[in-house]
Amino acid sequence: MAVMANLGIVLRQMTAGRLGGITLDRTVKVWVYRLLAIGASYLLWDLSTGGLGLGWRAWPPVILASPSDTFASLSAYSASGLMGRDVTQTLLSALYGLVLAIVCGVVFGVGFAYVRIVGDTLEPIFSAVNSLPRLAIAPLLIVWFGLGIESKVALVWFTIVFIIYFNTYLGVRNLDPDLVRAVRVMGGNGYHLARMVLLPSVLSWIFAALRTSVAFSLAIAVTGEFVGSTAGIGYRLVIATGVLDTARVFAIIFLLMAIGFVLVQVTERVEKYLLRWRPEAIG
Amino acid sequence: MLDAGYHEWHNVLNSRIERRLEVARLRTDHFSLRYGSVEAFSNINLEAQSGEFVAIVGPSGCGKSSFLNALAGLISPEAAHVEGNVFLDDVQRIKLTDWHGRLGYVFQQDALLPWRTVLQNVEIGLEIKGAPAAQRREQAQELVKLVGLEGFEHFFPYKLSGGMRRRVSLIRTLAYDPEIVFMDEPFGGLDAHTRMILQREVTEIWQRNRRTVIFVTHDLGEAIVMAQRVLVFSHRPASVVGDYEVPFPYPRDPITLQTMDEFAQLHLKIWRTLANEFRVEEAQSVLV
Ligand SMILES: Nc1ncnc2c1ncn2[C@@H]1O[C@H](COP(=O)(O)OP(=O)(O)OP(=O)(O)O)[C@@H](O)[C@H]1O
Ligand SMILES: [Mg+2]
Repeated sequence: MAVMANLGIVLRQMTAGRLGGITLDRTVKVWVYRLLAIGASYLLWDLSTGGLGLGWRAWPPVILASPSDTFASLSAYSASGLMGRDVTQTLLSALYGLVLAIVCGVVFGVGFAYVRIVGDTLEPIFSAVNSLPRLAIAPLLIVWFGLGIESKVALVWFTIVFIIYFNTYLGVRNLDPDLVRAVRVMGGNGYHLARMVLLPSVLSWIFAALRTSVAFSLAIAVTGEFVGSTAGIGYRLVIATGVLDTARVFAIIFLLMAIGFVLVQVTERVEKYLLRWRPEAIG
Repeated sequence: MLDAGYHEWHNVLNSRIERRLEVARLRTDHFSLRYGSVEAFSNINLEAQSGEFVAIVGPSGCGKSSFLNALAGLISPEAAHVEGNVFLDDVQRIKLTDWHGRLGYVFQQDALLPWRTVLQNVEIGLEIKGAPAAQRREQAQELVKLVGLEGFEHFFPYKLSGGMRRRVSLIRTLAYDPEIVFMDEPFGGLDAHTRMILQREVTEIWQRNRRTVIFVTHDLGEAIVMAQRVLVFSHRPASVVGDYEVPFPYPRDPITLQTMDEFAQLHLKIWRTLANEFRVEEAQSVLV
């Protein structure tokens, strides 16, 4: 018997090791492929823009800037101190807009979910406003709030607030009545219910929308700057395009990509941690 | 602030044990409930003495869970129409909040909070009572050990088996030591062995602190082995068709008790009443 049991354990350990090995191998493999893909794209880019010592150009530099020009422009942009200011301005627009949208969305979402009659009344109105293409009101917001950061904050807020609102609203409406009962039977009051049931379950709904919202907030802030501004990444991008400084345009696009990537990654990590109680982390 | 509340509660608890103060007494008077056109139970007069262990058996779907829910005050007026009265220590009780945390309810579906670990789930009741964190943790840990869940303290519910979830839901209720405990099939879905262990464990806990218990089960043997009294519910709409004293002394051992002649006789006697309530033909034919 004991021998059998031991054999079982050994077998299990062996298979566990093997399976572990397979997943490790896979990760390494994927990373190798990724680096190869990135390297190949880079080489192709360099090759077609006069690089690799061949001096051959598939496109004029105004269409596609070479990697070296792009990175030179990026470091000049950074050295001039403009980059820091632009990034700060744009990120602040995105951040203020996002935070205000979350606060308003959650407050109204929870409020209207409880005061059902208000929620039901406003539902079609909100849906109609929500289906409005946001950028359509960007010029109007510039008129209202000026060329400064306020108009971008307003635009970001307006884009995201409904997403957060609808998710919060649904989160409250879909509270599991069994959990509410369980906490109430144990003597829980409104505060306990809010902390133990309402908040975690609404949070999971909000997080479902947060990754999109974060990506949106950056994109919308930049787009808002296209429409009218005096600083920010979007402003710099429009200027560079206007003077056909393609290297600068590419530099800024890379910058935006890097910022967006980091933001989304961070949101994903936070989401994964906060929603670790879920059977399968979404995404 | 929180500490003060907890100590107050703890003192009440201790003084109750020391002075053998009575725990909750429960009585229903012509208690009925209907969901629209479906009548779940009708005209139930039940009395549970302070510290009494009452089991309820009855066919599936007869209205046992509905009865417990209505007793607890969990049925909203929109969901169903409730008639009759419930008295807690001779005071009429209508709302859920009237229990003031004196009620414990092990639901038929374990309502574990999915975002809390095993330990955190067990601590909920104590948290609500305002127990200090360290004490909470210690008590929860003890109960986790009691039901053999060591090593799973920090697991989220989705990683537990059905039986493990049931056990967590059981100790979550025991943790804050409510005066009166409703249990709705608390051992449903457990294997025979775990079931037996938990039957003995819960009976022992009851014997030690003598809370008032209303215990719903499908399993007549389980009811007899654990309870002082067995009520038989009729098929839907449920009403009380049998009320049997179980004369066996405590401490009881479920396994040896089940081998005794007295057990078999009582089992048969109650089964005769119960079997009448099954509409299924086969159930009748088991009775010879
Ligand atoms: N919320 C509800 N709305 C309408 N009908 C309900 C509701 N809950 C239960 N019922 C009905 O009431 C009857 C009794 O249900 P209940 O859950 O109380 O039975 P039970 O005795 O606990 O059954 P089981 O032993 O299978 O758990 C059933 O016919 C059921 O369909
Ligand atoms: Mg039931």
